[in-house]
Amino acid sequence: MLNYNSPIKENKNYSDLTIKEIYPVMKLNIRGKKREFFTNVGKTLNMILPTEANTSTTSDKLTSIWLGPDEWMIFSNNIIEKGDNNYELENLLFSNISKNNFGSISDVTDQFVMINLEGKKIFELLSSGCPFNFNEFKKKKGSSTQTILNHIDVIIHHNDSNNVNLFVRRSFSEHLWSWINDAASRL
Amino acid sequence: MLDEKNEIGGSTIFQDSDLFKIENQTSSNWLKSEIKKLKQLSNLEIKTRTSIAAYHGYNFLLARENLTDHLNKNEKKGKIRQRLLKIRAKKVIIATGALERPMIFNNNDRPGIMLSSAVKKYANYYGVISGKKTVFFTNNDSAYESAISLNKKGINVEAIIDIREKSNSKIVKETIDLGIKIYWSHTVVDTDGYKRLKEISIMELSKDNQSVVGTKKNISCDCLGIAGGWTPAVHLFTQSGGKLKFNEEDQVFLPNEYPSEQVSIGSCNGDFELDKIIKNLSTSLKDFLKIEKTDYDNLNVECSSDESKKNIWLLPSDRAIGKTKPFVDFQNDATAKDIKLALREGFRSIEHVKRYTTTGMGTDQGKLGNMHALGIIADTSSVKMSELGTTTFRPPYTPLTFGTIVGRNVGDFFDIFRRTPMNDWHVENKAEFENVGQWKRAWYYPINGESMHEAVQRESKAARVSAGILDASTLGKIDIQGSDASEFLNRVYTNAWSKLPIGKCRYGLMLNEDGMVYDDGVTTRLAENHYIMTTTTGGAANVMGKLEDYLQTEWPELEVYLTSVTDHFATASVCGPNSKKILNKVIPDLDLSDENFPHMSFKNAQIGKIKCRVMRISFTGEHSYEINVQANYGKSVWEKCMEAGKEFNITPYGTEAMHLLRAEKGFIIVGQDTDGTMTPMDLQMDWIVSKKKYDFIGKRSLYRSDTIREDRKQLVGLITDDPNEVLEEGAQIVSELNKKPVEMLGHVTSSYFSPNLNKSIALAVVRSGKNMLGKKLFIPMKNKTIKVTIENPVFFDKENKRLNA
Repeated sequence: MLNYNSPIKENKNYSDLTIKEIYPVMKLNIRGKKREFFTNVGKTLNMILPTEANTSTTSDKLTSIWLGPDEWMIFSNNIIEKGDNNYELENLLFSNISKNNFGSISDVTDQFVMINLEGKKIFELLSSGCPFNFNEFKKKKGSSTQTILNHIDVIIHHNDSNNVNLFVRRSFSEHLWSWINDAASRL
Repeated sequence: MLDEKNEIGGSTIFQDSDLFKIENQTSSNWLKSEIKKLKQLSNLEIKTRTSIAAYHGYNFLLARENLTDHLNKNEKKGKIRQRLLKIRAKKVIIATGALERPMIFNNNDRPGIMLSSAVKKYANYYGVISGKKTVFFTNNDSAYESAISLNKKGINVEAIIDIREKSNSKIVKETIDLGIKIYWSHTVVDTDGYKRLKEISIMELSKDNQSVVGTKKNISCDCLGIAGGWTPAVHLFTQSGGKLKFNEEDQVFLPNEYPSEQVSIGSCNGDFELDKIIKNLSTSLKDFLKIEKTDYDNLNVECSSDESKKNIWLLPSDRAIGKTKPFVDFQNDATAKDIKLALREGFRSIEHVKRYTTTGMGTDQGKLGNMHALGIIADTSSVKMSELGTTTFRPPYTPLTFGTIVGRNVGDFFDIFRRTPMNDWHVENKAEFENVGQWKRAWYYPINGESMHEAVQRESKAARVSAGILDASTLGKIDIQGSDASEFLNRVYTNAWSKLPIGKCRYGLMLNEDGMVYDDGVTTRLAENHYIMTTTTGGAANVMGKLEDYLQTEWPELEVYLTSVTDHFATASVCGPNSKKILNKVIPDLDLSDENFPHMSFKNAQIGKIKCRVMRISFTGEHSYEINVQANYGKSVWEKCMEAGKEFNITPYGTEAMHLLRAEKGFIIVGQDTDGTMTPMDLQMDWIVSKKKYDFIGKRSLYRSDTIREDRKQLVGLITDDPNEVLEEGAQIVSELNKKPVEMLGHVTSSYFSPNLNKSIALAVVRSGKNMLGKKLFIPMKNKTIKVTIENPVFFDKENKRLNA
């Protein structure tokens, strides 16, 4: 058995702000533009991929974030089992999409670390290191964006009111985590 | 809404005269109730103590928010002083007001001489008396407002000196009614007092305003409020690229052409009277915001209007100018005399006069005195002010600290770092780290106080004698899928990919459009239309961007999808004669026989329930395996390998030993042995360039006359005559020592002491090096000349026997 090591080892609480890593969460990067891609993904996932830029859709089990006209990231809404990385959904998608040349399915579960921010000061925190204008973003649940936070590429997903998911590449996550904590302590 | 003061409202907030009324309330009361309403708006954020430091093009503004300067020492402790706000606005309304002008007369810089508006603000806003016997010196009605204010508070106003002949405005009449003495057509010619103003001397102005007449009168006073009119604060407007025009009537520069969606309102746009301000405000806002009406359309405004205006930039004195001290720049102590001297010296341009006299170069950046400097130049050299122009207003409008600009980009946050999943293990095992791009990579692992050299020699030896393990997680990894994946690789790499069998790996060189080596790495065919490409650590992001760019813009017909999976996989590379035995212990289910799993092939495997990919590829020339596993299991896989390798004395080695080991094999590192000017042929890697393929990136450039030249610099091996002499990387190589100038043939790109060959080895690029095998060359150093011989760059195991050992 292999041991599981997530990069972020603590949860942090500030006034009006809680920050934690959510793990393990299955994440898949899916790409395609053919008609068969959309019908197959729809059938397999039982959900429709968002086609409007910077939005997301959610089902019981999954959320899919628009990343580009032919690219999405889907992630499991619930935590998955540690110590097993054979995902039924990935296998199913891979044989329905990749093997049929309709598009591509790539496992990015550990490519991204998912940091959840909760509280009233989320956008104040994000704005202190991000050029993105959150005015419209924060009004709409499900909105998403790919931007930079403290010079680091991130995907930001508006999960619920006062609740935001931040996806950052694993290798950058410790640096970003320490920056987030530094920024949160200075709000 | 940003206001640099601690509360919004400008100077009207303490305008208490009955002469200024809005909707039948005093202007300050009306304003206070409006501010109350503003503060209740939920969609308006008001930031006070916040000054626009800079107004850049396209409505990008920088603001400096003062957070703690107003607090006492204890309250400030541990708190941030200033914060920089970056604002991108659709529309900007500038209401920066106007700055009061001083008067330029002899000895006008003594303690107690201050702007009339300052005297008023101290009294009305802060409750501070500036002097017990105050005199005002003015050329407009502003000083009268101050005088009345002071008088009402019981502060003694001795007199008002006015350079105008008369004024019939309401406010002047009220002043006369209060019994304040006014000296019309008079000017101050001198002042006296050392630590405090004691007395001023005044005289009557001549008809032509060029001199003074009559007798000198002395007035005893301890405060002189000077009111020389108003200069609109157009700094932000001009910073944004706006052009000014000169208004002769008011002698002011005003906004003329707006470069972006912005508007200036109020006195920064030249409206100095309350009724005009409010009237023009509503019209210009309706136009600017494209709205039908504003809340301020038909306000009933009463005020006193300034009817007579007179401006003298440099006031005459009874003495010759050479004997006077009329200060223009109060910070740099530049006087009107200095400006006149500059003109006599032949400086005409305002920019030259500024630099000769330092006028306007203090921290106020000429906000007080620059208009007078311009006026004096115009008067002296008989040029129109409008033709003279102004000096450039550069940001910041108000000073801000370097710390505000830098923010938290200091210390640990100065640059981003990236860590591998095994990082904690390296730290626990006392690795020294090296920065590779933004990555922190284990450099070497010193034990028992070893030096770097000792540690690297031990690690390199161990990898060839028994087993070594390297954290190779930083290599870029791109998942490539799609029906045209093979064709895509054919176009990207110089060699052919279509016939690579599934489950096999191949090394590829990627060129730039100019035919020069850009990146390299091993790509594995996972399935018919599925590959995993590896790139160099430093080149990963650029390669990904370039390939995506090609797919979107050059080859949209290709059905290929790229996904970066660099961070998804942790990679442990186990090498050495015992690597197979170690791997067998870590993944017992995997058949490692050479028949089933030969060099340059790949297998899917599982460790427990965790799937992983194992590649049998080698950068050291040893029998070697790379285990790629989902990153969060990377540290655990590493530890498993260490445990399994214990009996074989498995030795973790860092990037330095890796560099040494590959140099023994003559393997290049893109970026170390190449510098963007090396073709595959220059690297003596002709074998990797397909002659059959129709095209690949950079192919055309490989056939340019310059790239096919035989005497280009080419990669060769170097052996020193003295086997213990290790060359310096970057050292120049020459063939003749006495030729002048010395002809430099090339330089050393990589150099190490090889513990496995027990001698010094180096890679170098040398002009026509390909044909110089065995030739003796020289490397002149500071205190010695090192003799070297050109060799084949593969120093160790030329037959590649060890790959299958």
